[in-house]
Amino acid sequence: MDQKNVRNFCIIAHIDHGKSTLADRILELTDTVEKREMKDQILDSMDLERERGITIKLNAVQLVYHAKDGQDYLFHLIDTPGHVDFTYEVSRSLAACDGAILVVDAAQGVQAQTLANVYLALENDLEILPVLNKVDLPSAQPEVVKKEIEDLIGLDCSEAVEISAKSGLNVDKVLEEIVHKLPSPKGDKEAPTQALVFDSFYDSYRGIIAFVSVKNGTIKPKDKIRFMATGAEYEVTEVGVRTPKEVVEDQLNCGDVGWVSAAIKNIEDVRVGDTITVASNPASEPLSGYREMHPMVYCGLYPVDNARYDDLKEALSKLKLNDAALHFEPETSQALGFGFRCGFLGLLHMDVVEERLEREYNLSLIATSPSVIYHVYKTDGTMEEIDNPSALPEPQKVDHIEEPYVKCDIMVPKEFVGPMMDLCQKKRGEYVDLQVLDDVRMMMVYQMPLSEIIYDFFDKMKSCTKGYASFDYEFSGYRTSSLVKMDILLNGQIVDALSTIVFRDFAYNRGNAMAVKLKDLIPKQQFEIPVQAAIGGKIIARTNIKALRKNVLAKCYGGDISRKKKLLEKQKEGKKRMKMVGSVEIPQEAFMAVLSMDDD
Amino acid sequence: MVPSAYVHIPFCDSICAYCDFVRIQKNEQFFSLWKEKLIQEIQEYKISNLHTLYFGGGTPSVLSLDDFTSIRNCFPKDIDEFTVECNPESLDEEKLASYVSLGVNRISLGVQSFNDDLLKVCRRRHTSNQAKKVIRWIQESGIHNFSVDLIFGLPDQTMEDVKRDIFTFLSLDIPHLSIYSLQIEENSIFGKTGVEPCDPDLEADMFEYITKTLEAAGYIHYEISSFCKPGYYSKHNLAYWQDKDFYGFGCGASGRLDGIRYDNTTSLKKYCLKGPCSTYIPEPLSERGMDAIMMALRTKFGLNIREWNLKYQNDFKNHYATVLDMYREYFCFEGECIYLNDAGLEILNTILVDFMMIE
Repeated sequence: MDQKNVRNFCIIAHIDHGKSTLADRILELTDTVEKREMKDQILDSMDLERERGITIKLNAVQLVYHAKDGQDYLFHLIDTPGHVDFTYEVSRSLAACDGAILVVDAAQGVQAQTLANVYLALENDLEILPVLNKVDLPSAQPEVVKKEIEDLIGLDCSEAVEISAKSGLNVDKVLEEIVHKLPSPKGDKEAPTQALVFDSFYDSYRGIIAFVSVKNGTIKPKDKIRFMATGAEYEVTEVGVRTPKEVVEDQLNCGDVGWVSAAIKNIEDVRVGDTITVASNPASEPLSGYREMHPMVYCGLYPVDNARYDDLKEALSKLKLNDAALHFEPETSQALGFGFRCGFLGLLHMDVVEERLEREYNLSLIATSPSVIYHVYKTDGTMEEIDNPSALPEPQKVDHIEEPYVKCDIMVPKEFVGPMMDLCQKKRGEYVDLQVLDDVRMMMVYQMPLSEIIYDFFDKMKSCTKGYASFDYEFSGYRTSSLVKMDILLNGQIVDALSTIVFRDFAYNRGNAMAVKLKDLIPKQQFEIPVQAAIGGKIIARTNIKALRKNVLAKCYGGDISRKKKLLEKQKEGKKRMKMVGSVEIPQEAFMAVLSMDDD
Repeated sequence: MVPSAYVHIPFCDSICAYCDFVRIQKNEQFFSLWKEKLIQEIQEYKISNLHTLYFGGGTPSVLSLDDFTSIRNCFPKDIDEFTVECNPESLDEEKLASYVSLGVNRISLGVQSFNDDLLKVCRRRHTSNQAKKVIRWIQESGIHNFSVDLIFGLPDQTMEDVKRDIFTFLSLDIPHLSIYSLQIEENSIFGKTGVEPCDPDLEADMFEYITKTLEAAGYIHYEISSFCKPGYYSKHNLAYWQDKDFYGFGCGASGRLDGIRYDNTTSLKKYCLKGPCSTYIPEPLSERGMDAIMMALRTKFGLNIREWNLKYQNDFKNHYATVLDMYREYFCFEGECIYLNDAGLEILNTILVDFMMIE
């Protein structure tokens, strides 16, 4: 197809504003997916995405649209996640596109992630097409929201299409707008090949498959391709697109978004953000790629069964192909044995990775409570980066500790500004700014320690604003704080995997809350188990898990065997997920206890 | 020969708050069909010899004498132990005399408590006095082998309440007691109305008191929930606990033939239309061996290791060496048998789970 009839675009929006539903309708209207194969959120192919109703991975499809001008157009549509943790997925999608459809919920209006995604799109020089979704809701106020978009973002909304992605209302108009308002890719088919690798995954038969956006030139089977950053060269075996099924093509042309298979076995060779060129006529420069994301949150991941360490290593390597922001390196814990210190962009990212490892690789894992990276300045004048509380040097060797701060933009209805400010203060937030956005909403700007954000800020924010607030954050720098390491002792022994670094003034409350939470989570055993929290050698909180006295099924007659066995099977499954530390059996959840406790 | 048979009578006059067994308020529409299908089911096996027979429910004593007789007559005349579960409100002297003439030689009476307030909480329809009267009738009927059921750990029940129940029990000279801690089953009225379970420490204290007091009074604690005077073991229940086959007849019954367990349909409608519709539960030998351990360790007789090794083609002491070591302070050995001491019985589930962890 002629390059001027190609449109590469993505859909960006705040979480739950209807990206994936709009993608569904577009696939339907263009007959890309047959009716009988259609299901909701078809591009969310991971079970995890479908269950949670969120998009985690970007997903690219090719479709053909027969426009009202009588011509066929080739669309490459990239669905993107909306949650702040997956911003890196969004930025990768954007680099592969020329335009973006901005979906805004006509009832909720512009939210924090709407702004964040728009700024990303503008950075990438994308043409943005605003669309108002959910206009069929009784609470929809399309005119108010249009004005909001114009005021806050500065986009002309006079021609913004008002749609209902759910019912399909006006989605046909969006397709026409894509044809007329979004640009076609600029590249040159005859120029040396430059293809941006924006994603990759591992296929057990074909090796590593790279997803590329071809910016110049072509790629076809038998081409010898070179990854410009790593220098690795491979012969292409197959190229193709997704519709969303995989379809093999003769070649990928400039402007195409598709996949390249070249029997790539070495995981290290394929880096997302790298440029592929053809070795016989190489491009002189790689494409600019995009900002590499650095992990903000670290935790330890350990197999419950120590013998599966190698399986975990392999699983992490494969997952990383598909998740460039994931970092990991080996670490050991006295309590948990051999595992990995893993870095994530946020808590949801951590949660998703853990769940994917458990499901897709059938691993049973223990995750330790998350930590940020602390800068520990020692008395000998050196600085150490610490992402694992148990690695914190002795107090006498520490001069001071710095922790990462983030700038938080919080959009909140006026009536919740008070409670929200209280919450930010309580989380050691430092007021920066408060702006009136419109008649009903304000934008609060705070500097906050990242450790407080990952702790329970999001849940607390939701409960104190009834879910009406949205927020976005970005790293702003390191600051000195008064921090201490808090240890947890079970049965008199420090369990290294339960240590945390806490703000000194919070230590007493957190220590108490942690002890109580652990008491609830750790099942009774045949002996009494003291649970203590300590700073240095000083015990700051204590409670006891009483000894188990009775665990027996009262009635057990002939007819009961099946039922009673089920009960025992359940106890057995629970036991399989426990880790023996010293003489105490600790369930997996206990290692994450710090996240679910209430210390108010 | 299959030594034992259980007949499930799924009808009740009213539904008790703790119960989640297959039971239904008696209704005429299904009754005659049910009886016909039950008799058919039993007769198919042409049983000529039976060691123990047990009518449970539900409430077998809600059956009319005619119905009872026609079901009973499907079995041989001479049965070593023939138990009928009864509720105080549906048993009278006349019925008792008829039971005796039909060969019933053991009654299991659902008393549950001698405290009228707690009986109301359980939605029982009898009073403490009624229960005591029926116990006297049983004793006068010539049935000297009988048992009562009691429950402890009921909502708001205190330690004093338990002591009074045990005291009353002891004053009535009853040879057998089955005493259960309340389990809040999801499908019972207690479960559906969100009744809180008893504090585990209080429950443990109650049970400790019960065991101590009954043993001091000369009762043998021969199974976790069962106490008896010497010689008054429930032979029928021992068949379950000692890994024997047994027939299970009727809607909602379970049985075991040639070591393979089966469950009959729990739908009365289905039973009336199509009969038992038994589902067989195929288990590998190792699994059946585990069932045997699970049941045998409930009793003070324990598990006969030599027999188990032969039957399940395994080496018990070797296979479970880690578990036996882990809980060595709870296990006792006597001859070929292994059994748990009192403290071990209390945490039987914890121990069984560790047995199950060994594949």
